[in-house]
Amino acid sequence: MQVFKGFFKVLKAHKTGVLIYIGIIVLMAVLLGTTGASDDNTFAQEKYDILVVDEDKTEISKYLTEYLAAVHNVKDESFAEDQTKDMIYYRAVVARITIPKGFSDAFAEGDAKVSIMCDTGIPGGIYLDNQINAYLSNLKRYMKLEPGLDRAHEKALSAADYASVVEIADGGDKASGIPFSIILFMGFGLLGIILSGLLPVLFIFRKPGISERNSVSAYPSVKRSFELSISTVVFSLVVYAVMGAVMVVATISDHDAEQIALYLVNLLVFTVVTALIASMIANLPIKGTEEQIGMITNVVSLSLSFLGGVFVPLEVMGENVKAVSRFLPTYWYSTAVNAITDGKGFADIAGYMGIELLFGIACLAVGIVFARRADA
Amino acid sequence: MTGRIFITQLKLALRNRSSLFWTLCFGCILGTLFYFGFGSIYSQESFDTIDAAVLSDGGDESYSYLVDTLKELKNDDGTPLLNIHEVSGDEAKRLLDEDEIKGILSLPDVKLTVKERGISESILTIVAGEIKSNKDYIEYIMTEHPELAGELISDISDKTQEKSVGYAEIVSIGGQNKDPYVAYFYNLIAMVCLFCANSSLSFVCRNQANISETGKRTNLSPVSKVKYELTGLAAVYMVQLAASELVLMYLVFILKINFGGDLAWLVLLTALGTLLGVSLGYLIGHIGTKDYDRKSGLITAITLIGGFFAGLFYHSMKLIMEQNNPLINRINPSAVITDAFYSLNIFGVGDRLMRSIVYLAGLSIVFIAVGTVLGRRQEYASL
Repeated sequence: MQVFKGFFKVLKAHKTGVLIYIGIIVLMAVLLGTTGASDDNTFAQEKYDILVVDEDKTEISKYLTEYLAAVHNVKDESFAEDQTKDMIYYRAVVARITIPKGFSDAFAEGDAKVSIMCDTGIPGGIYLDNQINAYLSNLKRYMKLEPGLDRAHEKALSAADYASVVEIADGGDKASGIPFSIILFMGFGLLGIILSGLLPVLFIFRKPGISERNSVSAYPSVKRSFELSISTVVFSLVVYAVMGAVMVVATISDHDAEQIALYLVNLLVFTVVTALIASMIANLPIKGTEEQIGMITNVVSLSLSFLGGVFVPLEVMGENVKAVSRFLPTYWYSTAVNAITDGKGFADIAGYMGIELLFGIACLAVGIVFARRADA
Repeated sequence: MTGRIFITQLKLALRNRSSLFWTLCFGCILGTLFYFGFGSIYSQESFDTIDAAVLSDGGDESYSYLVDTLKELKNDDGTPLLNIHEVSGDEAKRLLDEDEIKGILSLPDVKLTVKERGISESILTIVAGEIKSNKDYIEYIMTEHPELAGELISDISDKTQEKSVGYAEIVSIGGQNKDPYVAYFYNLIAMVCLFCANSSLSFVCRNQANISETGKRTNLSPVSKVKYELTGLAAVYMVQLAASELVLMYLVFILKINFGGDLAWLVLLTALGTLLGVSLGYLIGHIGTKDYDRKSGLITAITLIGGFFAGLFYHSMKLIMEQNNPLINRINPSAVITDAFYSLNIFGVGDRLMRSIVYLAGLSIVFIAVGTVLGRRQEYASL
């Protein structure tokens, strides 16, 4: 098993890239798990993360803050102006609502305004504007009729509870927000790890001097190819096992056993496809220097991930882009992951995995064509 | 002598076509993919007037008045809030199924039917809820305080007025481009700048006696090592600067990405980013006696991990690091470069941008200084 051992010796010498991508995946899983940053207020939601600054500190401003806390997630901490703008830009919060000093007095005179600082390019600010207007209008109305401010506040809260007027049409109730998923991110991780691990080794075995020496050696070419293939399979399976373990640990609390099993099957199929992509690239007519391999790994992994819906949800990409993405294995990987998250079973996702495998087989065929040309 | 060294190193850097090609190729290919992938997401999120159907008890004047009022509702900027379709029940259901409207408002029993939960549906809910709360208020007055019925009419009328005035004022966070996805392009420029480190690394390794034959001859020559290396570094920088600026020009003029800020500032920031990248490669080249491939792997590690923490894979990562470990954002070259572009966009030419520029220039000087000190210690015999 000399080729098998030689494969792993060369891999050990080029382990940097593999370790980098494994580190990134583990870090991502840990950071998303500890900060809960799986939902960044980017897409349409009913309940936002907001900041409320009460400079007035009167009963009316406290009741307004209480109302906002009832309908949104109000973050308790205070932040500097720069930090607040950073948070709004990166959608960590949708808006900062400032209740200015003297608001209560101005409210009694009908001249009060709270300030909503937000990204005016998206409708979050309009939504908050409408909510605040609705509550304060009702509060003012009931202040004239009810004996105390607390009673008026209760009436205003009750009047502002609009859930009873809404009904969802049959077949509706689809949440339009898609949270960022560590499971999707595994696709990028697999691409990075397998390409950065396999490509240096495969290119070295293909190097003119080395492949010629191997050809004239007593080692049969069939056995050589077999051992190379086994090495590739073993390496890919080890990477799959590591990624699978990270995925299970990261998702075990949010998904049931059947879903996790389906995620693992989908991940296995994608691992196979990635290994076949690596074998195709290794047969391309390029020198395969360290620099080239680094660039190829970055370009291929980032391109396939961005276009395939790994970093940005498929739902928000344009139709033209999706038309191109359908030819990429990451698109079908992401589609299968989203289907599993929505509760679909194996029968529903088998087709997606089949298309991923077809892509892999196509890459294998292209690789064989290039290899035959090189031999000729 | 300096001129001769500069021209020779310039020619060598230009002949390193592989490095130049990949720097340009990487930036342009990835930039194009980013553009097609999420160049239009932000514009899709922008607010459009909400289409809704109203089913009313036909011919009743009070509901006609209500429908007219709904049609007149406006946002702070004067754009209409709603686009009302007065259609039959079946037609309304068809429009809802085909996503041509966001909701169906049924009167006199105030009921809103929507297909999914979202921002437009939420705004419609508030509108419907307000109609219901007015209705409940009227019933409450008539039942509990009939003596106030006269005041009721002026109150409802005033409330309609108040709604057009409002209790809230929307203030923008500022910035020329508030699209959070443009941060990916900042990270792309940062990656392109940091990949320039490979060229300066290649230059340094070429002059190390233990790695190259040219290095043996250079180390034995009487030319001042510091002069030789700094002149060569300047030549490498010139070539890489041209490549980085070409990528920037492609993004700005061909893909029409709005980075937010004047072109002169963008060019300056890219130049500083390239200087940081080149100086990083210069420093790493002088650390230890390992060969080019290992040191190149280290540059790749710094670039990828730095990119990760700066938001290359998950655009909010930089904010998470700022809130939990701000020191990492100060020393991470990728984060420093992206923050410079971000500051120019959101805060304009001000303290934060100047601080970013000082960081970029300062880090570059530190890297070059340390690299030079380490390089002076590396004699032929010690290598």
